[in-house]
Amino acid sequence: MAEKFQARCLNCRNRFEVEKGNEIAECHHCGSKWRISWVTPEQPKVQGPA
Amino acid sequence: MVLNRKVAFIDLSKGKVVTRDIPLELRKKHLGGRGLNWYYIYNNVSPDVKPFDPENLFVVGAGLLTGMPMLGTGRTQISTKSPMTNGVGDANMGGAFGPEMRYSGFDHLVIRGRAEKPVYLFLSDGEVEIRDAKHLWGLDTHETQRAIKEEIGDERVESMVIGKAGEKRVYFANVMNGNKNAGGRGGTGAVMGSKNLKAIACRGLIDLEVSDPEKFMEYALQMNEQVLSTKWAKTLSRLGTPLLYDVSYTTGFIGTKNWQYNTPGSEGEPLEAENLQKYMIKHVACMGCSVHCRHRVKIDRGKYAGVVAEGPEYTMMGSFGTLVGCYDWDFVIKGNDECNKWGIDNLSLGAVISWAFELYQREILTEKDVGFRLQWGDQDAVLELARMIVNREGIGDILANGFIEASKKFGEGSEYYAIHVKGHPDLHTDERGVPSFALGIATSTRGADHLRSRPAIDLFQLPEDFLEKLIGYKIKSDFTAYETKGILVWWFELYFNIVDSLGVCKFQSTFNCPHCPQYDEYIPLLKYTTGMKFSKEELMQIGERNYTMERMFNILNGMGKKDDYPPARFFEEANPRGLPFMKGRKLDREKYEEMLAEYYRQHGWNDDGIPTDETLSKLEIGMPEKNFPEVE
Repeated sequence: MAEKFQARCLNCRNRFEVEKGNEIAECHHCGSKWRISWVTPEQPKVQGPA
Repeated sequence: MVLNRKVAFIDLSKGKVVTRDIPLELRKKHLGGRGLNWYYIYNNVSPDVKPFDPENLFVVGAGLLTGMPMLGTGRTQISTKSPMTNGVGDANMGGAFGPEMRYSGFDHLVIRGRAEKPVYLFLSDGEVEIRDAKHLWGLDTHETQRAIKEEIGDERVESMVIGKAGEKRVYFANVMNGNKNAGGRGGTGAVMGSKNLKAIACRGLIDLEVSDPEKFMEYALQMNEQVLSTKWAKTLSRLGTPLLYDVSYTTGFIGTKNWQYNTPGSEGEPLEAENLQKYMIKHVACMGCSVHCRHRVKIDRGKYAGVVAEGPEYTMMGSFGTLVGCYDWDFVIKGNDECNKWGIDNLSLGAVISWAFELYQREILTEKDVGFRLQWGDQDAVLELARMIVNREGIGDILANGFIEASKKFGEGSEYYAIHVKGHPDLHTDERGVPSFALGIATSTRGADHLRSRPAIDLFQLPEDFLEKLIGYKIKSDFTAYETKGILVWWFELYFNIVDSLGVCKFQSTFNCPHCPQYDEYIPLLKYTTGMKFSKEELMQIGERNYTMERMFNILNGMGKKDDYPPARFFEEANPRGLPFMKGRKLDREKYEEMLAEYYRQHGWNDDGIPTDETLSKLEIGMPEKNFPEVE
């Protein structure tokens, strides 16, 4: 299983999980899709809307 | 000893200086930095003094912790009566000037008068020398600093200087230290220029001896680790303040085309923070900082090839970005470099330029008025108008006097499109969807601003029990709520005052991250550094005293409740864009009034926003009493 890390959704402000290295992710709370950048290999960040 | 730094009273008209100890009693009441700066101004600048009168004071202060190896304590506070607001003019600058001023023997410089010819001050080993600066007048801020280092013959000299904008008394001129550290807000550079004071330089070797070195170092390292362990600091270390853009343009609270829109939408994608990385040479930091949030960047190709600069910060992404419809990092970097060299507050400049663009769009200004067309996204037009403002050429001479005076000249309802509070331009954020942010810019003593109280953590919708533990009051988690946000803004006003009075960087405070150090951590730091013991309640009381003194200065200068409102546009026009929870939002006037009343009550002010006698007595604030010593 790929490692997962948390990012904060800009739409619902809940934390959602992102698989390590993924550049697109969907918030499982509200369904918003985001482009993801990585601050560190363990810290994803929402960059903008997908 | 940290507490043995002096205050120098400098009369430029007489060319005389006297130095004094800073009484411990004043430290206990105001700490240092912003707090003590306003103690001197409140008592010595009467309401009849105009900002450019020689009798206005220009005060420079180091925080009580400035120069210490933690929490980004390279901060310097610069305070004066502002030409933009005729009230509190106040700026906080990073870099290394404040620490060097302390090593030179001084914590505060209280400057009045006007030199007959351009001068600069040189501080060293407890002495202040007034030097001729005729050869520096006309140089940009980078050239000036270089020339001073060469003249003194020491590369480690630090100086705070003005550029062309300050010399020309552009109302939003700033002071600069290093490549990009700005005492940006309030028009401090214009007042410095009005005194014919081109620069203040310092070089010192007087150690700052702390009270308990062993415990201090251990705790300082612990503080750095606490900050660096946060996601906030890790992101800031990599992306700098542009990281905020990704949130604001995605969500919809970034002023676009002079706040006609609240985000550029997908058009703004090129300005995402990650896209700055390709320009980066390295990260640099202010003194005492281990976060290093500043980019040093280079443009390799294209129209602006060869520009090497520091920054830009998030503010510039609005000023030469979304506010004027330009979505090009090259241009933002170029504009930032020019602003730094001119010595002008890029935030105010961008707001004034974007206002002119909207007036042109609405045909209140014409090509004949300006000399060329002002079309959104036209980089050459933005840069040319900026240059005209700095040099006070043509319509630039009117715009250089800020919103209040310029809108009187332009008439035709132009004031409505000027986004300011108390005459002070707003940051490019769009506060109409976030009531706490709106209240914060409205009540800020220096006019519209994000660094006087912005409770950025309100956006996180933190659990209410967590907020209660942090703030000490029940605060609603919902950032669109008005209730309890008067208390939240009050709390941050006090807290940011303490941060500025200690000389700590706000980016290493609870501003954007609830896990960064605050009062509980400052108490041991103060004890190990100065030997002084404070409780959290005592520090909050000092914050309240300092803030109320600034409020009283504004009130004595004719301000009041009428000046505590966000721009009218935020009540009238709903957000046209943004995520679903942001689109369609505008401020509700009735709810805003209730929030403002709650805020006044929390401060102990009456319904008109005037501190009550009981509050003033509790805070030991009397009417002003002049105490600038004789300097014959």
